[in-house]
Amino acid sequence: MRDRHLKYLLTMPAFLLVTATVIYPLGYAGIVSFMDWRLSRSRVPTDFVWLENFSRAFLEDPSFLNSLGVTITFVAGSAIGAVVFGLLIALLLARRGRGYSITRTVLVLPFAMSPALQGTSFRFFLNPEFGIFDAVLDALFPFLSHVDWLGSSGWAITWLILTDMWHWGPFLSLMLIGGLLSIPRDTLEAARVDGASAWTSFWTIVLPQLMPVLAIAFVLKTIFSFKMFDYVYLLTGGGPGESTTTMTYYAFRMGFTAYDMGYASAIAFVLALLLVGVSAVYFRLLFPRGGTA
Amino acid sequence: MQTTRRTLIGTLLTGAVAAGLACGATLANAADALPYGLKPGKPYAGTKLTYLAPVAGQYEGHEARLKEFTDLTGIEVEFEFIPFRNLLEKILSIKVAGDADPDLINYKDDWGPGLKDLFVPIDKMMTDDKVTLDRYYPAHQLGVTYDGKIYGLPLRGHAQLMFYRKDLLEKHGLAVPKTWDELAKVAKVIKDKEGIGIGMYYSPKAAQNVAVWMNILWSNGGELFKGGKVTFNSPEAVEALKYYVALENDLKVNSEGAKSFEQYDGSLSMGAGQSAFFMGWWWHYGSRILGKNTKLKPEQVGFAPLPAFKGDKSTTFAMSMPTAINANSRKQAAAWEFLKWVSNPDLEKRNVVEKEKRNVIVALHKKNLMDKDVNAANQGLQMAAAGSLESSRIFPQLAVWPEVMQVLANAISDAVSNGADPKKALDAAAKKAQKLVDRG
Repeated sequence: MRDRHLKYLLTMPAFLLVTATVIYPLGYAGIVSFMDWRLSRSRVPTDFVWLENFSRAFLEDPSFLNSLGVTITFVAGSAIGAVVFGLLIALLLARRGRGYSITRTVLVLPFAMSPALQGTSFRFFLNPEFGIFDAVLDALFPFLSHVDWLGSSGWAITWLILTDMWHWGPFLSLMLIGGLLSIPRDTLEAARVDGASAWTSFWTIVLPQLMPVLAIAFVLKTIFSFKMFDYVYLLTGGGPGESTTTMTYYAFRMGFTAYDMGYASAIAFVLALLLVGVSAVYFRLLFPRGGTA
Repeated sequence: MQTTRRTLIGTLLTGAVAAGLACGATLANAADALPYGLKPGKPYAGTKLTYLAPVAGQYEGHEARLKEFTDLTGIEVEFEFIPFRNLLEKILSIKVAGDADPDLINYKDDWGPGLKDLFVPIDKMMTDDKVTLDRYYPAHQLGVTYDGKIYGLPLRGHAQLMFYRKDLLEKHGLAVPKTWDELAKVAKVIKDKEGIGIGMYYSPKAAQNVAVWMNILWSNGGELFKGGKVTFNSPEAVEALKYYVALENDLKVNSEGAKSFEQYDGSLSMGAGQSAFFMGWWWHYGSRILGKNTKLKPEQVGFAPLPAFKGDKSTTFAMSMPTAINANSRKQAAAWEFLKWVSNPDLEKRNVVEKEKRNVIVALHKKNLMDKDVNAANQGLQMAAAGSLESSRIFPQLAVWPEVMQVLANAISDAVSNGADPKKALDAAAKKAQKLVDRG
């Protein structure tokens, strides 16, 4: 068999797999988003309504616009927060030695844990009656002792972000440790000999050299943050009110409690378009024109 | 006509033989007859059914006794358990896929209108086998009936009750509250003296705050809908919400965490000794208030009907979980045999009385709720629930009700947690809900 054909044959399994698990569902959701499909009336989509589901979302449904705002708030908070948290951990642990290696290995654990388990655990941790976080925070900050952590909009979104940071921060720190350890030590030592403070070295040497890794970490985290569902479902149920209802959670509600699969698909498709935009940025960073990753 | 001795003996012998044959036939029929209207002769022997049910002790009790059913009918049944929170999603996926499996599906009554084309109407089967809904309370009868057709038999169902710390009320010489105002006053005394209040819940998660508010609404003469129009922003409804919010924000009689609590947290709080009152489904009594890991003993906990808002009568909310036959199932006749067996009152009674393996308290048959043994095994809980069920109502039978309920839950949560004006919150919710209802 000629090489020209062999390469297609070898990539065929991957192509079929991606088609079956990504392209087909995405394409089908795209088609359904232009259709009327109310599950309470029919088990299959019925009529084409073209842009009606989209116009309903943007022009008639304040809850959708709210979910868009909540999603952007969450993405901004969790992406920036997780990267900064990861960077702080990385700066502490970017040293060579056995103790550091073990610590870095342990850091994978929060990321390896199921988000469902974490969401349930955090809900217990924050329980005002017997939650361990609540008890510790009350002891450290007595003026906050009567705060119901998931009972007000501000605190609820804050805890969603903090829970996500706890999950992602350590993983991102591993990426950043790799970046930090690749910075030539002689540059840093030369700066120290020249009298530069640690702070100056960080801003003028470390950060600029770490920027490509930071950018990739940030964009990657942004993509995942857009998809936030687990913690909303388990920690807050989208509340109080709709203050933590993200787009994924709202699409889920429209599909599985309003039985409106057409509208749910339209919301999911808007989210998919946003993700395509962010992914394009990610690829530009990962594979810059004229260069390699 | 002269009767000879020979004729007389002949007549007597003939009569005896005929009587013997008739008696033999009756005995043979009696030997063949099966309980609960099951078909004799095992016509479906060898059939294997699948049954989707939520995780709950009651269904586990059914599964544990399956051998009895298989011995009677030759039909085997495999249970597929799924957490309640994921049950609707699972049923919807079955509906979309048009699966013939599972043959039987347990669901929540207010999902029925949106799912009913997945289920087989069982009216004719019931008539043929003389199974009626009379054995259940009206709320549970309504829960399985849509557009005049019956789609399932209720296997699990809940009445709402108020649970209270009997020991604390006695300690402080307080009477069991019968109105919401009395409850607020009694709870205030307990909170001041013991530091624990009502295990109330306002979280929109699972929309359980709606059920509490609805009790106040109905007791205040309000309605959710009238003639297809949303009316849950009426003055009565706004007053009900203001009162519900005031318990937390003004009267401050709830235990800590009520704004973020859902019903589970409220009963957990009471079971942990952190709340003196809890209002909710009665099943919480068996596992979360008096479960293995709770601090309370039966003698410390009392139960009573939910308080009335105005006047002396409360109208509580009841729900049921019927089991229906999948319209795509190819084994519908065998599935009906199982449904007859699993819904029989004797099985239900044994489930509730025999406590050695699982603490099941849920019974639905009127006669079981009033049964002496059932009540003796459960501190009289079923009798109290029967009183509540007499005047219970159910959720509106609308296909879009689950989402309307979520919209309401968010409005309630917004009013208590974010300081939204109750009237404005309900007006906005009513506008959204009307759109959903009109869309259908």
